[in-house]
Amino acid sequence: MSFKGYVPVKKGSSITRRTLLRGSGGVALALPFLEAMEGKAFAAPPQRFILVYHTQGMFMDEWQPKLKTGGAATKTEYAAAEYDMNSLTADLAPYKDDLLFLTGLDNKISPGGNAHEVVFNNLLTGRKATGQGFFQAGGPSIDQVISTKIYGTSTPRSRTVHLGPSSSWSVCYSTKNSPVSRNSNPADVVKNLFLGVTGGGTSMPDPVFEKERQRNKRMLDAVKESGNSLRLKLGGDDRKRVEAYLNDLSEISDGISAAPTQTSASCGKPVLSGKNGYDPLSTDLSSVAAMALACDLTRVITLDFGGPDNGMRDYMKRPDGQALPGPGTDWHQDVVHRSFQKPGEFGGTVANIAEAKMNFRAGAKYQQGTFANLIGKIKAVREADGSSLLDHTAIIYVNEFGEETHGFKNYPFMIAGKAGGAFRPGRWLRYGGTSHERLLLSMLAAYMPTTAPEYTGFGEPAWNVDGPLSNLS
Amino acid sequence: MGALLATTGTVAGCSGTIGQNAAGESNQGGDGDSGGTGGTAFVPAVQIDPMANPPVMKVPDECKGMSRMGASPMRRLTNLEYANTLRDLLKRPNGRDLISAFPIEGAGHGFDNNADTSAIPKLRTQKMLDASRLAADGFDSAKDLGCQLSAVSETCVRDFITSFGTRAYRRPPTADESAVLLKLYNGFGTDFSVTEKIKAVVQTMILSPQFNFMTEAGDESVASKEKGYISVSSHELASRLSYFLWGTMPDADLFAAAKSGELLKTGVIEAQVKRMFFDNRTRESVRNFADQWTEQDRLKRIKDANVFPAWNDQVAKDLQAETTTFIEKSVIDARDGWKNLMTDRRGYVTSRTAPIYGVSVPSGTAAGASAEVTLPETRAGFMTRAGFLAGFAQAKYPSPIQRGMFVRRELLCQDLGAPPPGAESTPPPATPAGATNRQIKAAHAQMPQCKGCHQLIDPPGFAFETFDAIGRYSLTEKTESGGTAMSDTSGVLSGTDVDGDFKDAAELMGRLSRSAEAQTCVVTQWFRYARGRLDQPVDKCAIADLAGAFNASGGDFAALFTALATSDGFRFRPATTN
Repeated sequence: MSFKGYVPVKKGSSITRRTLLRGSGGVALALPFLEAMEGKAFAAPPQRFILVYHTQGMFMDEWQPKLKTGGAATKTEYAAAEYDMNSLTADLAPYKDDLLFLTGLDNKISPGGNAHEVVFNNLLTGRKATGQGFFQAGGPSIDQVISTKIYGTSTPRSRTVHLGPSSSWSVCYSTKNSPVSRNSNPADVVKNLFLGVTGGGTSMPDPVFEKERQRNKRMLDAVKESGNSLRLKLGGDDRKRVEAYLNDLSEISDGISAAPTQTSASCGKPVLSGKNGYDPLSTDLSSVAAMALACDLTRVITLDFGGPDNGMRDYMKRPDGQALPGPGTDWHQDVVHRSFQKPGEFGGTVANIAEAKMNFRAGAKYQQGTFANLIGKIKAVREADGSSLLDHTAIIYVNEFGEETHGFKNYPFMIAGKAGGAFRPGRWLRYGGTSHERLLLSMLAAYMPTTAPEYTGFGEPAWNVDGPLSNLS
Repeated sequence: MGALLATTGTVAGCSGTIGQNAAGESNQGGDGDSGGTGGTAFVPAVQIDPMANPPVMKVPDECKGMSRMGASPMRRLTNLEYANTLRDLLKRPNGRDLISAFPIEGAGHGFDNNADTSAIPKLRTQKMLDASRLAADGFDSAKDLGCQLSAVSETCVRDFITSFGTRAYRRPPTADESAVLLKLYNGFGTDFSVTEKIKAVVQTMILSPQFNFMTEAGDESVASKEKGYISVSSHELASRLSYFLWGTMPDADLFAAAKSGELLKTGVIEAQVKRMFFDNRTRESVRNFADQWTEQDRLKRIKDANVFPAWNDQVAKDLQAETTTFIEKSVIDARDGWKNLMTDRRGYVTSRTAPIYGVSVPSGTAAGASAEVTLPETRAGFMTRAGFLAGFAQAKYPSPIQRGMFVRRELLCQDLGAPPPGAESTPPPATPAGATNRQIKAAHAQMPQCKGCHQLIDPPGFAFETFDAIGRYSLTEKTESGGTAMSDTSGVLSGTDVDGDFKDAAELMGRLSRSAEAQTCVVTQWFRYARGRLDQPVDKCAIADLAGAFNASGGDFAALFTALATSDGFRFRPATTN
């Protein structure tokens, strides 16, 4: 795998005057700052967070690590040396030591109702749904909360970036009932997020961009000023909605002006395949994610890839070598539901269930492969201090469901990377059916001091009582 | 928030039985009243013509002297309204290109203009920045600024801000708002041309919350009819009318009536509805309602290519257009719209969809065009359109549960609550090979935790069982095991005001066409659409009034729209904002 358009990895000395000019968006830098940069050690790279979301559950026996002894797992912790990757995770083998497997975590917040809607509302918010249907989440999702803690005093170009095929549901929420939309067009992200970044330390400030930036700033200031006079006439929820809109505009406006501050030599505008299809899309979105972090344009990314019915069929291979069903197949019903059925249920037979399972494996294995691809891209990025981006990042893998069809038990969670020491990968931790909300708390704890008041404020208090998971670092 | 309740309550029989599930848990509403909906008396054969036996509508006694006002939460322009408004504001051929990258809306309860779900996601804000730029770039200063570009005075800019701002904000801008815009114009350096500066002013207005949200201050100078409520201003009423009927900003006529204040008079509102009703923009708005009400985006879902080789995107589009046209004609063109909606047999087929109905396209129909035909007697009303039936179906098999849920939730406005915990992951009892779709689904409905609701949901769904997953009619069906079996569409409707048996979909539709409950529900759907919010329990009397007016008119939607537009809730709002 290679990053087209990347400059070769160099140590921190590759920060040049031009890089700085580019990084600051062309605003003339005060010289003492430049002097200060030269010959000095780089600050520790910041922590980053990526969340990858897949749908439709997992065959856990074929996903969780396989003990070299061949026996069933009994201990609560295993070191990587004690296990191999399983059949569905074979593509993750190069990253075995970068991965922390977590099994035995259940989604206990589910109150009943349509299983998909329940999960979209509660899985990442840690809260019960406020009602039936989509977009009924009880609070913000974990990525959003982390994004309020991760920047310190610096201003990101974009506080969070959400990528993935578009659809009308969402698993991420900025606040109660307010879903976050994903961007499904990598070229569009490159155009907006990477404005003014051309990469490789070769770019100069763009005068056209500069004029545009000034124009936007003045305009958005005017929108805010006149919006404020309107806002004051409104009450309660109406006012909050207008405020949220004005705040987003401010963030976008500040983001346009914000300069990447921690520019690594790997930073560059992602080069996209320009091809259609699921595989190019997931590869391109992964490239965009890696570069957005490398250039420090954002520190929080969600990649919501959805399920195998989103066009992955052309790239999947069945373990038995047989052909996959045609594009007219109802993947959700005829593959996912069926593969978890017993003969006799809903017209399931021994033969059609076995067939469905083969197809399911093809989808699941492919999904794990895309995850491996992302890890590879993140790992290859060098920070300004020469370390790997993966050392400062946690990529958490989340699936919609666990081991049963549309079931809430035993989810296939894993974390790639160390997030600056918050996680110690190369292990498999087994839990006996504890709430996945504890993992969400652990994620939060990894990015903020445990003494912060927001720390225990996340999620549903009833599921918080046991606190974060121990032994992750 | 999603806690708003539909006016019509939980069906007693559903919650009563559900309450008995083993876990003893229930998140159903209702009071557990075991209303006895299981056994039903025989009712004589249904009259297909509801006008021969019309629904009987009466305003509940408790509504005497009750308020008809209700909440008026602020909402934003929907994607479609945004596109339409910019089309009209900037005299573009259309505005759809501007929203092509906007995130998909919907999936909330009610319609996409529901104030509860109308927060603007940040990605949309980002896209609005792009869209507003594109739109503003199309502004022709030489033509539309109102003065010579070579000599633009400050007066000219001021006048422009007032005139354009009145249309962009749908009311005259305040002195503060005008001052901010003038300051913006004057603040640009010499590297900005007049045209560039004007475009920036235009884009600023389009980006403003004043444009994107429907904010209302009310008009305290108008006599209030009820304590705690104030009249909306004449400009605000113009917007309410134009977004309800047209899905876009007011036109010059409405602005003139707003400016003079005349629009606040009942007679003037009635005249405006009459003027606006047959305009194409009303048709567009009705089609938008129809697409959302009948969830036509379901047609984008996959159909099994092995079973339905002729199915493709174009067929799906044709069918969607047909259902939408059918509802549009019922609402706009038929003066007995209710009857038309529920029982009419006219279809609008293309060469691609005619085979689904087993009819031929009339000779002389242009290739790909749709033509009006009379469909077989198995079809009656909007729910027997192939587009509807294909939407409420799975990839291979029809879905009696989805179809039945539509009847309960969207045609009767009954709230059955959520399935009990674990309902979806509990396998149903096994059924023998050769079982029909109905038998497989019926086995599931026998489970104690499912029975309470599914005895209400499934029977009306089974009525459509002769219509397969793409809406074709056949008395027989292919079973999962590959055999052929007779489909069974008979059943008993319970838990409604028109309980009784039916032998097929046409009889069920005939029965429902006599239902005051169904008629009130369709009125409720229009209330939600017109008001941009879900109905709350307090709206019950207002909706009863509207249903009464609709019923008294013989089911004429023009009468319903007039009643809506002149109702208290449409003309007054709470004195304090939400």
